[in-house]
Amino acid sequence: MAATQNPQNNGKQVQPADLAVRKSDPNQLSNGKSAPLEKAPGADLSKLKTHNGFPVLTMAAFQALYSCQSHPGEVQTFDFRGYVEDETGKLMYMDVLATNGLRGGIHVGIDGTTSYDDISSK
Amino acid sequence: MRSPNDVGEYVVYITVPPEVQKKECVYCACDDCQAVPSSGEENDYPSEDDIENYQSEKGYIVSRLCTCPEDVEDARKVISILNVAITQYIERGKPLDKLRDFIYGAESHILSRTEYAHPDTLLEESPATFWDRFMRGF
Repeated sequence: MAATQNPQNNGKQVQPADLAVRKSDPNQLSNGKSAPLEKAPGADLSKLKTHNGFPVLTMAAFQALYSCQSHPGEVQTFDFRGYVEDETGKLMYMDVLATNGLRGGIHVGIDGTTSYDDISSK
Repeated sequence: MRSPNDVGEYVVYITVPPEVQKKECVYCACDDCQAVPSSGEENDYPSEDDIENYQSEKGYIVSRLCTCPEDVEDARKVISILNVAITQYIERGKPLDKLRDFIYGAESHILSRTEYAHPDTLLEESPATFWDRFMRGF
C-alpha cells in the first residue's frame, strides 16, 4: 500500500495496521505485543479507498470484520481506525479493537466513542 | 463529519452468549456479570426464574474507560495493551463475574505505569510475568 500523508494523524504516514486482523498467539499474549499483522480478509490494501489517509470500508464489510472468526475456536482481533461508509455515502470515523472467539464465543469490543449518542445507540 | 480528533473516550463492550453464562454459572444484567448464588443462600439476588431469563439471552458487560486521547498520550497503545489483558483474562478461564473489576484495575495499573514508562516499553521489564502477577488477585 502506498503510504498516504495524513493531515489528521500528525502528518504521519498511514500504516496498513490501521486495518488488520490478528490471529492471537498465546505466546504473544503474555507480553502485550501484537502477533504478526495480517491483512483483513478480502481487503486489498493497495486498492482500498482512503479518506484523509485512513482506510474506508463499507458498512457491510466493517460489520463482517467486527464479528469475524475464520474458524471455530480461533481467536481473532480486528484492529481498525478509519472510516465506514453507510448506504447513503456518509462517512463515519471508527476506532475499534474487536476480539472474537474467546472461551466459547465471548466477544470483546473496545470502541472509541465520539459522543454520548454513540453509547446510547449501542 | 467525525474525525480521529473527536474520539473522546473508549468503552469496552463484552458479549457473553447464553450457553457460556449457563456453563460458567453466571448471569448478565445491568451491563455486568454476576455469579449465580448457591441454592438456599439468603440474598437479594433475582429469583431463579429471573436468572433463567437473564441467561437465556445474550449478556453484556460494559465498562467506560478513563483513557481519553485528550488526557493520555498514546491512548491507543494503552487500549491495545488493555485488550490483550482482557483477552488473556478470559482465555485463562478467570471468573467472568470479576471481569469488570479486572478491567478497571488493569486500566489503572497500565496508566500508573505510563507515568514513568512509554507505552512501547511498558511491559519490557517483566513481560512474561506482568499479567501473571496482576491476575493473582482475581
